[in-house]
Amino acid sequence: MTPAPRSPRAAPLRALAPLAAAAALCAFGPSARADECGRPDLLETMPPDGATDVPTDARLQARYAATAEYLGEEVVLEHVGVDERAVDPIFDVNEGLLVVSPPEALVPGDEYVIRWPRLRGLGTATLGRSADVRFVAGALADATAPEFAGLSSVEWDLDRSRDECTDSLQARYVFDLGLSPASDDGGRGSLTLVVFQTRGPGITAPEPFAVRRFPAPGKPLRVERTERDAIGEVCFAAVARDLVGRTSASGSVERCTRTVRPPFFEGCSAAPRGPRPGALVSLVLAGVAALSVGRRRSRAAR
Amino acid sequence: MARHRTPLQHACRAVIPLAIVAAGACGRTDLGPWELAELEPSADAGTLGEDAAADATLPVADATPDAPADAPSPEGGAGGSSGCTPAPEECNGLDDDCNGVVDDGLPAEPCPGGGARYCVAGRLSECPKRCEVCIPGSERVCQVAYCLYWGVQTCSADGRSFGVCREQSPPAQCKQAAKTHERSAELEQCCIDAGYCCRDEYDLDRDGDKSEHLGACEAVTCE
Repeated sequence: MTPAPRSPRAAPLRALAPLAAAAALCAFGPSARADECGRPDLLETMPPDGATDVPTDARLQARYAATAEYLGEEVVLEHVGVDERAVDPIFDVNEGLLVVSPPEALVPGDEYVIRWPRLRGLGTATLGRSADVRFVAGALADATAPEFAGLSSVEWDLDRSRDECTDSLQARYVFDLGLSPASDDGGRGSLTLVVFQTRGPGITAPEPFAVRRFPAPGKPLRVERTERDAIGEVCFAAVARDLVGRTSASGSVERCTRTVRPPFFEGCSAAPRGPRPGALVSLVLAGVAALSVGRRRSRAAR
Repeated sequence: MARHRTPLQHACRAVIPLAIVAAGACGRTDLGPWELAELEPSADAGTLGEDAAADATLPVADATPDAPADAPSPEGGAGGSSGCTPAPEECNGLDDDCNGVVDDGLPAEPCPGGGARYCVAGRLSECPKRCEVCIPGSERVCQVAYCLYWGVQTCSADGRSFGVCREQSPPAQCKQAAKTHERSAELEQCCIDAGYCCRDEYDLDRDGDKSEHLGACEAVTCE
């Protein structure tokens, strides 16, 4: 097929067409949102899968994403080799926790499986992830509050990464919070960490902003704040919470740091570590000059 | 991390009073006012060159304003460490019961909707919130300054902020308002009347907050 002849004016217009189409797509097309955006997933459980020595009076908890909604989905607790029954959970919307208080005390040494459901989400038709969690009951009820001396350090950085919901770069101040050793008669692995920002822009009362399962020993907890919350002097504190709701007396231990607005002064670190290209060129030139002087001298000597 | 610096960096910061010279030596000659402000020592920054301003990792006792001389101390409860008189523990940052632990044994206060308020840093904490700004992935209508004047913002995955306002075609019932009034309070009112969750750029509720949203925002707000 022979292409139709075009006027000279049509050529530049044709060249601009892909650009115009791209611009139109950017302006009017649907925003590219990843499938993961806003998924009401189950994030973690307390106790975790494989836990042992779970107190006989433990409240079993599963933490879901902030978009999750509990609409009466069934939670099943299996007493392995004995029975299996649906249990009534309570959904703590604020912390995203689905909490089950077993109808009877757990039998010491027995194995249990709790089947956490897939939940639906606000504004999304996708179901989130579920989990079957297997654990073994310990010998005793939880009798004491967790031992935790609070935060031990705080370090900060700025992170810019592409957000799966907005499909654009989001800047966040990232804080690595060092944690003092922790223990509990119900097991360290079943502790929950509640983190507060105690000072910072707009903070009038300690603000809980992260509820997480306690990280592995020696690992810091990484939390994020927006620029709005994190410029200047910012302080944090944390308490450990066990499976019956007792908390450590660590809320009085604050750790503070001072952040600054980007861009940061990093003049020295911006310098390359190895020899600079300029220095390399100078070395080569000096070598060439030395060689040429040597040759002249040898010629003169002849 | 931003706070770790090489010996070379420390050396550079130590000669900061000669900021311009230092900047030149370090390959920077374009120090702005904010940079110079950062480089100046602050009251709590300690010795210049120690990175104190940026690295001030302080326990609360170091940062708390001085208490009156006769006030209970954090260590010793009422009357100070030398003469601690046991009293019921209160959430005040003090060791009222003289057991050597500040604010211990205080029960958490349950919050409506779940979670609890705890005694933290001598004060009762706020109740936890489902999210900080918006429900992840939710959307609200915003206004742009050109062409269609109508746009949509999506809440970030962590619920801490909205993304950029992306221009979109306004719905049929607000096309005329956009055409006539462009970016305006009238368009915002049309957005609300049409049943959308709309950024309150024109403070229609007159509460001084232009970053909030009004209208059908049940699936957007954190409460």
